[in-house]
Amino acid sequence: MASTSTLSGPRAFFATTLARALELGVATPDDLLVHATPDVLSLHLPRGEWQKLLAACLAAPRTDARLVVETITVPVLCEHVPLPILWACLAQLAQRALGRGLVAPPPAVIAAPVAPVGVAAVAPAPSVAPVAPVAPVAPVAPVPAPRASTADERTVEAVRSSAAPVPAPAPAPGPAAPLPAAPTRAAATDGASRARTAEPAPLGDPPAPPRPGNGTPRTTLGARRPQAAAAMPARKPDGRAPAGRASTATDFEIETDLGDTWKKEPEQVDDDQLIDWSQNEETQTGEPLPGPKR
Amino acid sequence: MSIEARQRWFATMMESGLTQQIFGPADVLRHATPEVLATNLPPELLSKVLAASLAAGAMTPERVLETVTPDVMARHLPHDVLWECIAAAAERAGITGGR
Repeated sequence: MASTSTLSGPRAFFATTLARALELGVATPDDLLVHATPDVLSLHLPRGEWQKLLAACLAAPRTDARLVVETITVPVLCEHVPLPILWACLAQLAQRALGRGLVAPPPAVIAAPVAPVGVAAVAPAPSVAPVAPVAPVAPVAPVPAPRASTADERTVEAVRSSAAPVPAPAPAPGPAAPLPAAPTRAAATDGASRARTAEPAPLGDPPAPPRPGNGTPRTTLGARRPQAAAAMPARKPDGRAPAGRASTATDFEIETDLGDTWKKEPEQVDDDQLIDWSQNEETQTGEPLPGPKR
Repeated sequence: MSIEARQRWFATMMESGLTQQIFGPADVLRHATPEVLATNLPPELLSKVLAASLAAGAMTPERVLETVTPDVMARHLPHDVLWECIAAAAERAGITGGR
């Protein structure tokens, strides 16, 4: 059996460094057997060492990497295992020790599925080809598409598909196949914007509600005046540009639409309203209104 | 993996590499350049290196490594640098090839 002292050169270097790595907890026996696999050992380990190993494994209640490494010993491993394999093992340990073992997989595989579906439909470039198996969601889903998978989910799917190719879904079109009828995300966006533009044009600012002091009578009898009977004059476009925000139909209907008449003859409007209020039940039993009063 | 364990392991690798002549002091200083040493070594070690060189009349890689021992390297120099030194030596030795 070899010992570290009987080795020289690179093999002694590997024996020393790997043994030290095990001793310090930098490496585990499993880390060694990941590279010095049973196949490697079967090819390079002498029969005498195999005899000891088999005997030890048979005698032990459990066979694991620790038993194998402790039986063979690191110097013997380093004496017989090819140097490139030892180097690969040492390099992996060093990469992990340097914190480089946690690097994410290459982005090329991951980035492709994240590309917008619309891009794949418009310009099916070869680099977008891996998108195809994921893309068929679009034809099935009209606007708006059902909850699209998140980027993380797509990433996981992409990694899975790259690791173990899964049969593509039945209606999967080829990467170069055009998707004419498929409402893509871009089309959905377009349609949505079109839907927004199809909304009626703003009617302009609603007339300002009567404010105290401007001649409009106010009472405290109710929160709302009887508006149902009031005739709604046709609204004339005032041609003014909407100030601030565009008014909506809801804004417009909250208050009685007086049109432009209140601007022209505010006093007449006040008189009409006074007459209306005089027929109110509470107005009849209460004090007569002295005039324009709040 | 504790920092101390990593330091001790890198010290072992450097020492073994030098002992087994996988790389030599000049190879080490090719990676542990004056800039690396000046940036990472504490003042007392820089002073010691200079004093030893002045006393000997020359600053050679061997003399530098008498002060900057593998243990000192592992404790003060970036481990990336040390690993580059090891990896370059392994590359030269032709032991990093495919299986």
